[in-house]
Amino acid sequence: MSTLQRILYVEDDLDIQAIARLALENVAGFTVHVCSSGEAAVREAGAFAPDLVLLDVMMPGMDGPSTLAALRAQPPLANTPVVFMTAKVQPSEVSHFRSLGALDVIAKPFDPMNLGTQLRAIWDTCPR
Amino acid sequence: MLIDRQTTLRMPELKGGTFRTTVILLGGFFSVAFIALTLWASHTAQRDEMVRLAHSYSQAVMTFRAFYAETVVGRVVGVVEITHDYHDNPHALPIPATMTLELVDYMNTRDRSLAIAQISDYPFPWRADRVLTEDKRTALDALLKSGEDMLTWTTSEKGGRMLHHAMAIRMEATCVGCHNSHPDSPRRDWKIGDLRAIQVVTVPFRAGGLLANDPLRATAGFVLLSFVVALLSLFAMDSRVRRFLRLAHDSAIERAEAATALEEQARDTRAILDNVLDGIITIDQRGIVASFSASAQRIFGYPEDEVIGRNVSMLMPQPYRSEHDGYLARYLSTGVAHVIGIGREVTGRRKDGRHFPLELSISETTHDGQPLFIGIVRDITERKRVEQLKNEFVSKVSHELRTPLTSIAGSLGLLAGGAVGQLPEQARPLVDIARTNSNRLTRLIDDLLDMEKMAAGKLAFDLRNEPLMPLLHQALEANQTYAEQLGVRFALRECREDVAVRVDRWRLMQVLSNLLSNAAKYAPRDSVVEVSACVHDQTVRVAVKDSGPGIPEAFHDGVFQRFSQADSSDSRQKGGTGLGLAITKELIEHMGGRIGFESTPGAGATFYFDLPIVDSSNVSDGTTTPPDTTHGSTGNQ
Repeated sequence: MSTLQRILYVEDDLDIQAIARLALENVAGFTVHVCSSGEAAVREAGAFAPDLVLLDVMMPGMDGPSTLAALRAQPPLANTPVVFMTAKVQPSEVSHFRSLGALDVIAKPFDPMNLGTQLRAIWDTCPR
Repeated sequence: MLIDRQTTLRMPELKGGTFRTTVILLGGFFSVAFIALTLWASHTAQRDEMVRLAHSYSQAVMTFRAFYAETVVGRVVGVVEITHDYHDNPHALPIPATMTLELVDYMNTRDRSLAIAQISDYPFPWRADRVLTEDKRTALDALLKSGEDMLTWTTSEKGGRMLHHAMAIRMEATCVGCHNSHPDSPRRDWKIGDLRAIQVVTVPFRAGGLLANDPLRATAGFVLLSFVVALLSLFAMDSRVRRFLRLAHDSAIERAEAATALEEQARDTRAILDNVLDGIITIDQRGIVASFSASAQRIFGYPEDEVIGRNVSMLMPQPYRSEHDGYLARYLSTGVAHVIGIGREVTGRRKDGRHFPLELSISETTHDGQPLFIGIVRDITERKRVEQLKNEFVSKVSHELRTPLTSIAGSLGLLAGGAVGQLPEQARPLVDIARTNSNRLTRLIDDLLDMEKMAAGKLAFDLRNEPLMPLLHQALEANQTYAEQLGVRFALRECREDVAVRVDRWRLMQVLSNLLSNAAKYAPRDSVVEVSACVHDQTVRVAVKDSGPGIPEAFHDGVFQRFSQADSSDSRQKGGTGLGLAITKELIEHMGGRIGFESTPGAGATFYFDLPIVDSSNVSDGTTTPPDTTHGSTGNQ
């Protein structure tokens, strides 16, 4: 089983970006590339070649589900695991995101000290 | 309306008194007239009878006198002496006048019921002593003057009323010569036809007239009695007819009032139906519209006359329109209903072709023995629009609140976790306070969202058969850290390991977390919160018992109400939104359970819920990961 290391993080809110980046890089030790929009993620994902995409749902322009669909359309990223991080965590919403192809959903607000652990746990459930 | 109806039905006043008085007066008048006529007829008949009797009597005497004069005297005259003084002469016969006078005297002595007399104004000397009474004198003069042969009159005398019948005795050829030649004749110029004398028959009126006659009296009495009986019968009949008319009138009034009341009720009902916002449509078993209320007309845009008599499917869009007749037929043949007795949301079609959401409830009744379906429709276009706006608003607010909260909680988490270095000793408790309250704010937003979804009936439940104990252990584990922070320990008491329940595991975890975190919050430091799962019949009761201050009696009714907390200052001390137990109750009830509590103030509280037990051999694999529900909700105690 490969190790989770490269994470593409897509989030439009700059404050949350900063916190998550700190949590993922400094606390969890991941290599993180941050995009502030779905469009940027679609553009830059191929070059970054992430192990996992951590994707916000509600964003201006391309939202999370649209970005997921666009990433899936790129052959190198067709099977890259995607995890949504969102405030929309009602069971029906979670089920909806899973049905779109998301591996799992992390609720906002998240615990930055445990974010890396959570992602690794999800990564471990991913069939490869 | 009622007054008008009564006015039109009011019976003409039955003036019984006037009618009866009139009948009595007429009856009296006719009775008197009858009696008077009867008496008059009786008197007239009696008089005629008396006249006839007197005339016959008188005629008989006259006939006998003529017979004597012509047959007897005529044959023996010259052979024997004819004289008035014959009593002492055995060879003499009386002259006719003498014979007649003596005959009537003799008859008067034989029959005293009537009297006969012969009176002349020229009597022979030997008869001059016969008294000529005044009335007989008058009668004689009247006959002399009139030249008639009969006269009848009545007198009232001591012995009663008398009828006098006078017949003229005129000079016959056989008499003239003798009278004119007789030496004692008081007159000698008699001619044939002269009134020689009058013969008067006097008959007394019988007392009572003809009414003294029994049959006649009986007949008159019978007639009179019949008349009285007829009159009384008329009165009786009148009473019966009057009573019957009164009853008929009262009955007609009652019927009219009942009809008026029914009309008014129908009008009121119609007014109510026309003014309710919901449209009311009735259809028969073929789906043909029988009535279409004013509200239904407003909702669908069709006037009544364009719908009544047509199939109700015209108010539906496809494919419901095509399916409706088949559905109705299936229901009538199988009795299996999909919408009858159940309210549900469907789509309607207005006259202009637009579709709109409507809430439909249908009930069934019978009319003239045939099924009649009553549909109540409510246009929920506006409600749907508001719901959508509200959902969008809640979603938006939720996101907008969570976004800064994520930054705050994340920053505090990094600070507290030492991601950016060790905090000064004095700063650590302050960061912990900020973290606790940001977590509290997060739970409040979660609770508000849950309540909102429950109120809208939008909270989704994924019900599966789950083993209870793993969930219980998981909940205890998830909340253990929180309890330890408060110096409280969870202890699992009597439990049944093999019990399964049909629940949404995430929601049950939410319930357990609410109850456990509540108990931990209110339990005294260094105390134990006891958890048990006991089976009673076909239900399992999960109870969480703390030894905290308990719930004041006055607050018992409001424990499960939203935003209710036993003590607001305490709740500030303990934290919580006042929504936790309300949400817990809703969740348990959605999963077919029942929640309750027992508490004695000062002696702790036990919150419990009962769930039906299901077959434990058919449970889910439990792989779904529940969301983070660690001390997930709020305190309500």
